[in-house]
Amino acid sequence: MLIEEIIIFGTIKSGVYALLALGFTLIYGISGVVNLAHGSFYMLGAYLFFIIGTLGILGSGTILSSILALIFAVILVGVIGSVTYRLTIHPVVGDEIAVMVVTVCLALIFQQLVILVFGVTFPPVRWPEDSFLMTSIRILGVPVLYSRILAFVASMALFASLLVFITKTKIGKAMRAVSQDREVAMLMGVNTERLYMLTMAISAMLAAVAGILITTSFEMFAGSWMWLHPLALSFSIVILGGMGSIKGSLVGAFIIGYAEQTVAISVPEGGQIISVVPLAVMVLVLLLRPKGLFGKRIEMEE
Amino acid sequence: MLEVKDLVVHYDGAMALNGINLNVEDGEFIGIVGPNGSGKTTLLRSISGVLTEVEPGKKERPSLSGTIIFDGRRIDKLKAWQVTKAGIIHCPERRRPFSEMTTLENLEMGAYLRKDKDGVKKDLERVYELFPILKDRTNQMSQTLSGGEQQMLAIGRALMAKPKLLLIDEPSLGLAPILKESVLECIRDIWLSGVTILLVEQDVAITLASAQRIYVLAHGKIAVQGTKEELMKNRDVREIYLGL
Ligand SMILES: Nc1ncnc2c1ncn2[C@@H]1O[C@H](COP(=O)(O)OP(=O)(O)OP(=O)(O)O)[C@@H](O)[C@H]1O
Ligand SMILES: [Mg+2]
Repeated sequence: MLIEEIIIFGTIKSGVYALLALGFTLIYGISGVVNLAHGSFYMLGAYLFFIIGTLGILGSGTILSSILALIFAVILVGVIGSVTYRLTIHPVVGDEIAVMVVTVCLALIFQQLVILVFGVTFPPVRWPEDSFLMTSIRILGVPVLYSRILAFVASMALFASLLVFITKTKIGKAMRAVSQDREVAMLMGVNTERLYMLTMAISAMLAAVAGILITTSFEMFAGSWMWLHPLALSFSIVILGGMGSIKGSLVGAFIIGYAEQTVAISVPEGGQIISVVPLAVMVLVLLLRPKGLFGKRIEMEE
Repeated sequence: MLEVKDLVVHYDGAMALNGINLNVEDGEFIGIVGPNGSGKTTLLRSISGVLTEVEPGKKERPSLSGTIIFDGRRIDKLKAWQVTKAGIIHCPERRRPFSEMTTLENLEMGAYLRKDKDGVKKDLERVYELFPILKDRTNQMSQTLSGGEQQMLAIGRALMAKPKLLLIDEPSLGLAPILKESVLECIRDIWLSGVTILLVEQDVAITLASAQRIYVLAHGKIAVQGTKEELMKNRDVREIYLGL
């Protein structure tokens, strides 16, 4: 029973974490930006999903309206990501320290914004109560909510689509080209500034999707602190897997995901301490392999 | 076609180009020779616009003054991608293929700004005709290509952009003499097909053999210029600058 739960819920969470970390690694691999506001886009995703659902402009109470709210929230976060990137991060790109300072400030600003609007209330972020997503089936004897299955399947599908996008499309190739040799990519006619903005939009959208999927299937409530855990996750997964490595973000996510789930289930009061697990695993692995598990650029091993 | 006037470039205080004047007419084959560190690469990077495209947060940034005019339009303030769009393609020193991409993907990157799918297809055929070896290497990662193949790939990639003016930086670097000859032969073919060429080389002999006019660069200045005959006539020029 214990081991089955670890495997099932570990797999589900790891899948979503992979998506979260993919966004983080993508913008790093292409523009060199270590975006410490990545977790904020995760948080904004969840909040905007709640707000749009509550406003009911896209209908309410049905799975369809929730999915529309999700899509709309994710697009909004993409726009926010891209615009904040252009206005605040782009002017200091190339100066790693300045980028970290700016993105930490962004994270704090987003947190304050959320506190300003929501105060001490914690809005529920979930699928319609009476939809089948809130019912469960038994897998290996463990009851699993359909919303969790959805979270995993959607994450893996998105992860795969992004791989296809990067390998097959013109813009995807330009992204790889920039990550391999920025100057030569410019010589070929790539407008790097626009490409960075697009990459940041995609990166933020991935974080937003992850935020909505995790919150709707595990946490059920949003809070102004909720950007920290995903940031710690992204950071440790990506350092584990190697900064900029797509394959690494997938493998790293599963290592961290299972580790977290193991602690959450098998340690008494484990749920309280899971947020230190990613960092602890990261430190452990780095002690053994200082360069992380994989390479350093956006690479495309099949 | 291309006119460079009073071009001065400083890298972080140190002068690299000190008042360059140069012009290239439509259809010409121009050579630039000069010793290591004389500023040849800096000149090409100034023209193609990458010199000043430093990331915004970087502390050191080269400064550029003077004017560069291409087809009647000032290009020295343009972004690199706009210069590319205008028809100047810069084939960089040390070839620099996108190492984790295949030959074909590299060639596709050359055609990045083009919308004419049929034209791109035709040009791909043309590149494969010019460099048959690349066709055999279509799906091979470019980092596993030999030096000669990488140089062909770099030139082919530049051709895919359909250049009006092609800037080539030291294509013979690190190649065996026989390969040098064949690469230069290909560049002559490209020129004959109507592309204006600005070739930077350290190998004086092959440059003299191909270019219609030659500029000799030394310490960031044009020391002498002229046709092969004009340069060879002068004994000092021959000995001091051309080493012949
Ligand atoms: N990125 C840079 N930062 C600082 N100085 C530079 C930079 N690039 C070139 N320089 C300096 O500018 C001068 C001209 O260099 P450049 O690369 O243009 O010479 P080159 O003629 O192309 O030499 P080579 O034949 O070795 O390629 C040199 O003194 C070089 O040290
Ligand atoms: Mg050079």
